[in-house]
Amino acid sequence: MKVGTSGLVALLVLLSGCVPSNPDTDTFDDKSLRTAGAALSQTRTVSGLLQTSYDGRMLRPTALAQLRYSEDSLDTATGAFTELNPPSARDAQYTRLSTLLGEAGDLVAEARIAVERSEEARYPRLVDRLDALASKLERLEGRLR
Amino acid sequence: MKKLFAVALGILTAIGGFVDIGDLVTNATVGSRFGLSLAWVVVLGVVGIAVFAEMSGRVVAVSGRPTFDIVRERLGPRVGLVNLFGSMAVTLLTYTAEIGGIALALELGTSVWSYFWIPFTAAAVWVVLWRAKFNLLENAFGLLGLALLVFGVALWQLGPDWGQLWHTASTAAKPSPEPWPTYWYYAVALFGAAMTPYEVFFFSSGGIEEKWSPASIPTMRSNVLIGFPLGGTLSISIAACAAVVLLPAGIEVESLGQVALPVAVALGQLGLAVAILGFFAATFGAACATGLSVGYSIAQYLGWTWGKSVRPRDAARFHAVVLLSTLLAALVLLTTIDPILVTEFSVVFSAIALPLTYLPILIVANDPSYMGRHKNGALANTLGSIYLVIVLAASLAAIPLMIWTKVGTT
Repeated sequence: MKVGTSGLVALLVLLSGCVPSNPDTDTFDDKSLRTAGAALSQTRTVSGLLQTSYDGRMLRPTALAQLRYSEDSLDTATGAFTELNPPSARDAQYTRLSTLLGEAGDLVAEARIAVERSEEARYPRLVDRLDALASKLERLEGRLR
Repeated sequence: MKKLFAVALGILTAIGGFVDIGDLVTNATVGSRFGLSLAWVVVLGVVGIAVFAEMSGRVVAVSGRPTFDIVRERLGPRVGLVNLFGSMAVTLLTYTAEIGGIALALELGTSVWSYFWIPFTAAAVWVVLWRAKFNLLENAFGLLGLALLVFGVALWQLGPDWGQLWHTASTAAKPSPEPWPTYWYYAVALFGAAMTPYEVFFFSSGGIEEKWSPASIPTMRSNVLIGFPLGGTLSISIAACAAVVLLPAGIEVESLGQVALPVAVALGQLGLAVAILGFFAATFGAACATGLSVGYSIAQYLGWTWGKSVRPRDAARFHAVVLLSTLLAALVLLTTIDPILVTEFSVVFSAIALPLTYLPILIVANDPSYMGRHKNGALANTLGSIYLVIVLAASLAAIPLMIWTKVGTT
C-alpha cells in the first residue's frame, strides 16, 4: 500500500513538470527580469558580431557559430517564458516581453541569414534595429528591477 | 645555460598551461557581470594553488613517490579512498568540460557544430595520451597556450580607464544590480577554477615522470612562484577584457564566442585567430592533464604501474582507465549537454572537493619520516593552515549558494 502511494506521489510530481507553471507575482517578475536580461545579452552580442563583421574584424566561422548559439539561447529563454501562465495583474508585462522576445528571435534569424549569405550591405541596418530593440529590452529590464 | 633554459621553459609552460576552460569561462563570466570586483579571488586562488603545488612538488622531489600513494599509506585506505573519490570525480567532470572546450574552440574556428567534433577530439586526446611523450605534450600545449596572452594585448589596445579598473579591483566594488549571494557564488566558482585539484595531481605526478630529486626543488619553485602568478595575471586580463567590452553592453557570457568578442573588437581577425588558437591549446593541454590525472589518481591509490615514462604495455591498467574516462567523457558530451554548463558545474564541484585534496597534502608535507629536513617550514604551515580554513569555507558554502542563486542566474 505504502509503495503504491509513494508511486502515485512520484508520478504526480513527475507529471507536474509537464504542466505550464502558474507562478505568483514575485516569481513571475523574477522570471521576467531574468528573461529580459538574457534577451538583452544575446541581442547586444549579435549586434556586436555584425558590427565587427562589417568592420572586417570578425572571422566568418566564428560569427556563424556564435549566431547559432545566440539563436538557440534566445529560443530557450523565449520558450521557458512564453509557456508560463502569467498572474492576471501581469498580462501587459507578459504581452510586452513576449513581443520583444519574438522580435529578437526574428532579428537574430535575419542576422544569421545575412552573415551566411555574406550580405554585408544589410549589416548596418540590422545593427540599428538590434540596438533599438536592445534599448527597449534595457528599459523594460530597468522597470522590472 | 641549459639549466636557465629549463627554468625559462618551465615558467613559460606554467603560464601557458595555467588557464583551462574553467578559467576561461568563469573569468569572462565574472568580468562581464562584476567587472574586476572579484579580481581579489583570482589573487587568493593563485597564492593558494602555488602554496599547495609547491608542497606536493616538494613531497615528490624528496620522497620520489606520488601523492596518492603516500596519502593512502599515511592516512589509511579509508581516508585515502574518500580523498580519491572526491578528487577523481571532480577531475573526471573537468576532463569532460575540457574535451567539450576543444570542440567549442574548433566550432569557433570552422563554424561546424561542436557536437560533430566531440568524437574526433576525444579520439585525438586519447591518441596523444597514448603515444606522445610527457615532455612533448606538457611543453607543446603549454607554449601554445601562451597565445592567450592576446587578451593582455587586447586589453592594452582597448585603452581602458586604468584608474577605474584598479579602483574596482582594489575596492572589490560590486556592481549595484547584482545581488550579494550571486557575488559570493561566483567568488567560490572563481576560487574553485583557480585551485582545481587536478593541477596539483598533474604537477606532482609530472615530477615523478620527470624524475625530480631534491636538486629539482629550486627549478620547481621557480615554475610555481613565477609561472602561476603570471598565469593568474592572464586570467585577470580575460576578466578585464570582458569588463571593458561586455559589461557596459549588458552582455553576460554564456559561450566561448562571447569570451573572444573583446579580442575581435580590439585586434580584429588576426587577434581573434590567435585567441581561438589559445582556446584550443589551453583546453587540449588541460584535457591531457585531466585525462592523465584521472589515471594517475586511481593507479597511485591502487599501487598499479602508471605513467608516460613506462611502456604502455607495462602500464596497461593505467591506460585502460584513461581510455574508459575518455569514452565516458565523450558519451556524456554526446547527450548534447552544453559544455559550458559542464564547466560551470566542474568549477563549483572543484571548490567542494578542495579540502579532500589539500588537507592530506598538508599532513604528508609535515611528516618528517617522508620529508626529512625538507618538511614544511613555518611559512608553508601558516599559509597552508590559513588556506585550509578558506577552502573549507568555500567547500561548505558552494552547494547552498548554488541552490540560492539558481546556479548564478539570479
